[in-house]
Amino acid sequence: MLTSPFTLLAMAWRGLRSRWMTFAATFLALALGVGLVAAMGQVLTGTFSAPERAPVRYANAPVVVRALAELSVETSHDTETTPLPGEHALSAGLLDRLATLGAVTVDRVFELGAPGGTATGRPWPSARFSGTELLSGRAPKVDDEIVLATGAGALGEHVTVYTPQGPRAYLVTGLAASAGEDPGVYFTDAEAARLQPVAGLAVVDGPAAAVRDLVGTEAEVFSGGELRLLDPATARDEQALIAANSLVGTAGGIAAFVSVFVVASTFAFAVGQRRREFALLRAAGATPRQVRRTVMAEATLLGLAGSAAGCVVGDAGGPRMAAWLRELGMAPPWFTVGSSPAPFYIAFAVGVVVAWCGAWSASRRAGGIAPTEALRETHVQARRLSPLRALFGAAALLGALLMLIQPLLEGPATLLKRKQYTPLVLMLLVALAALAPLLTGPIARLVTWPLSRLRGATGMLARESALATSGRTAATAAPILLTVGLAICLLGAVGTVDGARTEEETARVTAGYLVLPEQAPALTEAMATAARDVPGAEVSVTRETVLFDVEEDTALLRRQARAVDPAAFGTALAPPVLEGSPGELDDSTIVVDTEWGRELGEEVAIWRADGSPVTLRVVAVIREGAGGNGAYVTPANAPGAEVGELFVSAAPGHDPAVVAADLRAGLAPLGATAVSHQDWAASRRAASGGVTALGMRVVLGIALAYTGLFIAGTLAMATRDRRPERRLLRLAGASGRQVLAVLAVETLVVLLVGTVLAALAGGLVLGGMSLALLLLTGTGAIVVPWGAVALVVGACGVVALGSALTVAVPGLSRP
Amino acid sequence: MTNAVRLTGLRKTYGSGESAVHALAGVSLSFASGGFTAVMGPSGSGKSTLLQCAAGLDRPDAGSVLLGGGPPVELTGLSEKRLTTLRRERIGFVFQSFNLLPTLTAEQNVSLPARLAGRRVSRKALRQALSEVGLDGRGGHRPHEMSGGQQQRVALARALVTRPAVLFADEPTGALDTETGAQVLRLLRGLVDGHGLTVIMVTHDPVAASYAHRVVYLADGRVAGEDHEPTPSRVAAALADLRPVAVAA
Ligand SMILES: Nc1ncnc2c1ncn2[C@@H]1O[C@H](COP(=O)(O)OP(=O)(O)O)[C@@H](O)[C@H]1O
Ligand SMILES: [Mg+2]
Repeated sequence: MLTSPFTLLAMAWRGLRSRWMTFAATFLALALGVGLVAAMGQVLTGTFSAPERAPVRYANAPVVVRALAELSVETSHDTETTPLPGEHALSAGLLDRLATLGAVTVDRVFELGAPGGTATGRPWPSARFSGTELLSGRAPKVDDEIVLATGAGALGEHVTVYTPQGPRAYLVTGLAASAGEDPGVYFTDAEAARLQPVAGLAVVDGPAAAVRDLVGTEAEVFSGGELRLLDPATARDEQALIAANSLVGTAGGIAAFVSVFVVASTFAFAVGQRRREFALLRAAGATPRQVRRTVMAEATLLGLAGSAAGCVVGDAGGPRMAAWLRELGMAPPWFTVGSSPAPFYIAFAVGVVVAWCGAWSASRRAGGIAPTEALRETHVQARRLSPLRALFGAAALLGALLMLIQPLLEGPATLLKRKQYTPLVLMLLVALAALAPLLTGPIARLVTWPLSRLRGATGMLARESALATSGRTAATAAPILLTVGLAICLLGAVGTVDGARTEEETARVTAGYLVLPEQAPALTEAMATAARDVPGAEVSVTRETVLFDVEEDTALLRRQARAVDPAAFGTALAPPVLEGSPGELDDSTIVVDTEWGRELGEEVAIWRADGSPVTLRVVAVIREGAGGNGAYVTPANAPGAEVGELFVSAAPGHDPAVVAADLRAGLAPLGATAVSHQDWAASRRAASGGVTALGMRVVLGIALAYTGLFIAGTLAMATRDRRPERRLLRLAGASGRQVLAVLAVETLVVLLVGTVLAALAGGLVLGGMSLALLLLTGTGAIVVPWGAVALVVGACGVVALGSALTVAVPGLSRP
Repeated sequence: MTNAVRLTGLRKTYGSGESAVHALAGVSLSFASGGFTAVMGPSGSGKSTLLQCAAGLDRPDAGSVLLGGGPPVELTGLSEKRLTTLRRERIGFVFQSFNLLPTLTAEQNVSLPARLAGRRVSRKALRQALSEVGLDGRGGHRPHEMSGGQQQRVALARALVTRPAVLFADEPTGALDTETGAQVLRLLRGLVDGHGLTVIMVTHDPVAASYAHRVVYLADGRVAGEDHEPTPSRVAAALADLRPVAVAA
């Protein structure tokens, strides 16, 4: 074969250009992947601890004693202790003894509806411990005088405050600045004691050690830095961090997965794409080992450089991501990234190792390339599934199926948890990507079938090329599988779970109207009374309580329960009953959901919210449901429980509209209103999933932006790779436009194949969820986010087409 | 006899200044309809460039390419789109490296030009085209499942299925062994003699050239002589004479 110098030159130039694009694509994949992992890692370490803040509410208090109520239960292992819910009082005896050590100031804390919004109510004498000082006016002297530290109201004004004991008008005698505290309303000691009879806290002006000795285990003692634990902000911070941690944890998991997937695939793809170059090396006398070493050396260099660049990207991206979470309200306002350098080390190591692993398997293939391949201009790469990859894919598939089936057999509710289904989805996508070469053939045959009916060349070329090179089609479809698969599975799962919970919550209630607090911070007994006073109103009240249960003699469980009058089951509530009749509920019985694992008629020995033991007989078993339906008892078994829900139905013979109007009139002075079941259900549905769905969208948005680049990179490389084929087409008489049309249709076939693979994953995950919901709730309705999926598929198509055409258009004018 | 192709004063230069290569330095040639012409010359003498310019695959810097075998058309100055359709309808081309689409079967490869033109070709026509080149029953095979000779015959069938006026062939036997090469050449000669096809073939093999009616010698982008009803020994001798000329120039 004669080779003119010009051919050699052109080949070298072509090689260089092809390498340039490959290098750029792999470098970018790596840098962004490592950057994503490093950024997520920093954000995640930020969720590990809240900032240590100085005490606010008791900043100036020497020692604070807080009442403690616990339940201790002997299990087979040891003694389990858990705090009891609600407010607990310090005993008079303890307060007297504390008084011997120094001045004692009793403090009470309660929620209010005040001018300017929700506020905290406390006795004025304890205000000084937070450094709250009067700006103007004076301290309250009589019961209907208050000091406002809410930023609203004026001296001498009469304002209505919605207290736990109902609304009352107060005269504002003083205005104060809350020293870093939540908005507060300060009463006289006596009025505070009337509004909150439980004296749960006491500030003692004495030495901490002495107080501790005296109190012993009777109550909790706080001094010095510990005083910050009594600030409401501390608990809020912790709650916010738990939520942020859970979200960022999921996001980090997805980001790490996507990065590893993309980097490994891109490296493997890049090496696979250079087959001809390696064949030339082999033809020039390189041993397989030399080829492998060349590949690995390049991968190492590129891995180090890309990972280093990734750390720079992560350093800039982490704080930006944290800011974004703050702006979206998914993290508290003080949230920042952690200062630990660990995420950078980890991300760097992950980048280098994954680049190496991706190149390793490909280098083995590269070493095995026959020198004769150099002689072939183009060839059909009948890339068979390597045994190692088949094994890996099968193992991943098995793992995913286990994660899907096991909860279905043992506890379907697990499958509805994000921590369960997210790894399942990722595992399934890996399995499908690994096994894609097996599935691509049949899928491509199916989706391109209509093309075989066309008489033009475009359809034929696109179909035959997808079928003949199913290995390449699989590799090019992988990024689309990943992108669309994540969107279908995760958005579908979130939507399905949210939808099921909302449906269940609204279906549980059959009452015509629900009373909701407006200006008042919560529902009160007074509102229940007001509702009962409305002619023709059938009123039902539920109270939130907890019951303590020992499971299998090992774990002390805190179970949510509602206290109701059994009559409510006829008029206001319709829990999904499996057996028994909830209407038979009385002071010696209980209604449980299947999560309790109790039989109808079984005697259940449990503890009430105040820690008192009781044995109740199961009169009905209800479904566990998507969000847990919990248990029902009578108010006698729910000591201290406050009004949780207030339902009203019009009695037979009364016009619901009239009842509703009377109800609203009666409730208005108490700072509450009534909404129809229909309106309530609609607003629940509208709010459904709010933060979780938004969180998942953000998480996915970041991941999908990255996988979108992956699509662009892969298609650019694949399209470049196939330049000789386009030349052949041109030589066979195709116009430039026809070549582009073929390319466009081929790209759409790849998009379709990837989407079908993703739909397969979605079908499996959502099918499993549907089954789980069927077992839990009796209806297996799933929510497929069609709009979002269509958007993602469309975006994938635009990116894929754009990338392929951009690469192909130059150099098409001439054959 | 009419001309299938007439080239007048073709020039093509690559690069510029010091490093300029005059691939074609003023070539004028006519190729009669129904004739089989071999174009010969040393490597780098401009044979491929000549063929590509004549076939409308490349554009000369100067000169004219008049395509006969139908209403005469001047190729230089046609738009890329017109050139493509014209090539599809009136010109066939086979290359040393077959240039079949690797993903298509033999039959699909042969159907390609017609499909690109938006026409449907009957299976019967496809089978016949393959049968004409001696490939009965091979229609369902992909290129990598066929020998070089078979692939070149598929390429030939593809070039001929549109019944072109002229077939250009650039070293069609270059990648084939002697015996397979001879089969392809006999096939070409048969098509010329039996069907009145015009063939213009580049080759550097004197034996291959002896299948032609006429040989044209090219050196340094210029016509350096021609011969009729050549024999291998005469061609070899003429080629040997050409080399010193090339060096002297
Ligand atoms: N695209 C090109 N760019 C630069 N030089 C070229 C190009 N194509 C051909 N040449 C040069 O033009 C001359 C003739 O080339 P070619 O027609 O391929 O010769 P042949 O086919 O007779 O071997 C050679 O010197 C070659 O190097
Ligand atoms: Mg040549």
